Amino acid sequence: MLNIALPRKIGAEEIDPVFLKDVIVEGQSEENVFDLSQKVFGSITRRPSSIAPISNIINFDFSNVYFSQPSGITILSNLIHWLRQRGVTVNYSGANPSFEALKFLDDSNFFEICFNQRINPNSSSRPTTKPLKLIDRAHSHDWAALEVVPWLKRITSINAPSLVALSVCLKELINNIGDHSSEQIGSTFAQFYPKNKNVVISISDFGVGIPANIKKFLETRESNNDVSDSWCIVKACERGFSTQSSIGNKGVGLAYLIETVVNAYGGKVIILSGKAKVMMLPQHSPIQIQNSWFYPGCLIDIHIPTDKIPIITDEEDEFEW
Amino acid sequence: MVTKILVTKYSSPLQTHEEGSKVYHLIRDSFVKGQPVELSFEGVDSVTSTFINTAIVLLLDEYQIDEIKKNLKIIKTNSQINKMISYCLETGLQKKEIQGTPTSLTIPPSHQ
Repeated sequence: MLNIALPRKIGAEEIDPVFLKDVIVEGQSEENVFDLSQKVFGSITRRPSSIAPISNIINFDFSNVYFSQPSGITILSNLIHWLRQRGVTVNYSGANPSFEALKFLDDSNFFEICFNQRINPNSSSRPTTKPLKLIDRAHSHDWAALEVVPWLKRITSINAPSLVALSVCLKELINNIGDHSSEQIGSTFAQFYPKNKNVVISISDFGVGIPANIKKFLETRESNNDVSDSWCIVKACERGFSTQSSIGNKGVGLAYLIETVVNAYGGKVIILSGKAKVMMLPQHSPIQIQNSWFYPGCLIDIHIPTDKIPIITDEEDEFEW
Repeated sequence: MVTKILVTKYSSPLQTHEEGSKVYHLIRDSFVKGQPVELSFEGVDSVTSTFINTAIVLLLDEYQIDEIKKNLKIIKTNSQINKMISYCLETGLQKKEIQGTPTSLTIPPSHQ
């Protein structure tokens, strides 16, 4: 059996150092969820099909966890489901429901979705979260239009027409799970931070990943595929660039997401895939970070300043050419 | 005679390329017969790029944009739908400029 002590923070972002100063012991290494995934996989290559679990029984120890970001919740959910699909027995320990971080995970449906049981049977979803959900492309419309939008409408008091563009972006991303991912399933989680008037929506899958997909595409076009993973992610966000994985995929989905969230709302989009992390910020070139760890699939974190969403009072219109 | 297509009659909720494909074939069949099309989005609040790319932008493979403009009237939309159609068409036209002109440039009256 392999015992994995989960890190103190579960997430893909850097946490504000000011927030950390009281909880980090100097000199203690801050292992993140990606280091963790490297322990779980027997071997890491660019081809997800050749990644294998390192043990048939894996226990996740939650004793150290004190903070979870939306991205951490979706990544860990993907990891656990990926292991189960490959016959691994996955257990957990150290999940004390009186610890605030564990209570939060429980309220976020994490234990119910990943282990079929809540650590506190009385736990319930918080108004500020859209709990963890496994989703496939067949249900993208229901999740985006019938769950996320009404939730956003309720917590922000923004009218439905103003949230339609965001709803479409989310549907596009879930559709991409079907278009680009071999796993056909992804995890979603969203959280509203009322103090900052900020919503973070995390969508991730454990599929092929953007760099592997683009490199394969370049190979078939007999183009040079010796490019960095971060280059691939930036390329995938270019309007009109597509690997043409389906008829309707013409390289609009990610570009439209960035156009809407970053350019129109002044938010940010963080994409992790392969060995790269790319951040899209307003009026800024993409920030590209090449990592030592490998993320098998794609994670997209969408940060939305809710007070910057343009208010639309929509009326019936006619398209003008 | 104008062919009137109410998109919700043929597909819902207008997000996948399979749904877009149904509408594309309806439009194309009318174009092939030389009939203009009135495409109504009545009852629709949003569409994805995947749907628009398959239902409308795919027509650029066979027809010039001026021919599509002339023969396809799009009604009962909203700002999101309009923006998405424009965004996808502009992207499609940019790609077409890079890749070259289509093989067939006019609406053939009885092309099958």
